[in-house]
Amino acid sequence: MSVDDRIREGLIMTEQHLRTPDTATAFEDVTRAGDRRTTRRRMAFAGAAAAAAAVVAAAVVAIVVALSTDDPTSSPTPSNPPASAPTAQAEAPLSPIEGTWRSDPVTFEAMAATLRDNGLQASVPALRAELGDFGRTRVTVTLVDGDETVAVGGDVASTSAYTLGAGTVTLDNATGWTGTTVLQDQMGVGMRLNFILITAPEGATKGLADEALVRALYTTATFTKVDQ
Amino acid sequence: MDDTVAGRIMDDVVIGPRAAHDAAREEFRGVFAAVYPRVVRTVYFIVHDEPVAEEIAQDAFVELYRGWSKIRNYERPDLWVRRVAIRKAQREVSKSVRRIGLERAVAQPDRVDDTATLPDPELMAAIRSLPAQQRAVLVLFYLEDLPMAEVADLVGCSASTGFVHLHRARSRLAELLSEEVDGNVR
Repeated sequence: MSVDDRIREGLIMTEQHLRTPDTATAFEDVTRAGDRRTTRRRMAFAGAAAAAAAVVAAAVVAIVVALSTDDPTSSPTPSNPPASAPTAQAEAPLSPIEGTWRSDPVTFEAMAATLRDNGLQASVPALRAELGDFGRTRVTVTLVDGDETVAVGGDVASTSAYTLGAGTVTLDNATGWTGTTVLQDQMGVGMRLNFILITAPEGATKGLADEALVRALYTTATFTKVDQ
Repeated sequence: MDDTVAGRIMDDVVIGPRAAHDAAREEFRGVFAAVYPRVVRTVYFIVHDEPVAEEIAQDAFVELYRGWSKIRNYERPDLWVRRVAIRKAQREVSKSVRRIGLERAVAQPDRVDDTATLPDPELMAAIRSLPAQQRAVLVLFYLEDLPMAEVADLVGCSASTGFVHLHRARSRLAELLSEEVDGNVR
């Protein structure tokens, strides 16, 4: 018997041997978990909004975003806990970090240079295959209602879920990496969003190492809030 | 204000979004029922553990549920969730390998081989010896009969890299199972 026939037959026989998953129960579990996370997320929005409002009142103007591994224990601990917790979760106002952020003009070559500076030059061809050699454009990061989207030009390059905490934003990318954002006091530099990669994420997106994609998209340029 | 009109306005505000929510939920239920069992199967052949496979599949569907308002507009929402599940499964295997390595460094536990009750335990054991990406390529290619372009998209590599994974997996399995292997995938 050829190895191909053995593999195919073995997989089919094994599949028939496995028990059928309980789809109805699984559906209830999934929707319940999804609804629970949404509720938690709304509560986090309210908490972060209260903390961030105080920060903005004191002319805090810079945001540093730090990406870490998926190990929650390695995430930075927020240094400024919220002064008060919200008592209601209805229609929480947007946090100042939520909305649309646009980078300074950035070129593909600048992204490639970011990779080279970080020893990731081998990922440059994969980055070009993933994003295309776009010449000069802007990267847009949108943080709305728990969904974070990164677009290069008009094309979506990456999406994540995010949650707001007390002075932090945690990104949770469905294809692998997670990250944490930390609000920092930096007087007089305007409302800027700077992404800093602390720990390399694992995994890959379409053959492109996650670390390379994340560094290229987030760390090549700084971002300015488009909507207030 | 006319009470009737006010009542209609309230209905628009309150019932309109709920009806849309219910419709989206029913749509999600349809996709779930059609895709979930297949996702569990695929993930099983990567992680080789039924409870873990169901847990990973459900995690992926929770992500789909949370992003449903956006992902439902995609051409193939089912591919999105399969891709997420497969990537999660691959990461789970990588973590397990590291975990087992650490356990072995401390002590040699008595491990139960739960492949023994399966129809071809030798094959399953051989597949478990493969790296996660090779397992994923193998099951998508042989069991699900997907073209390599789609396999590669789901696994997260290029098609040429997918063929490399497939070639290495076949060679390794042929060696372990003492089966014939030639240059052409069949």
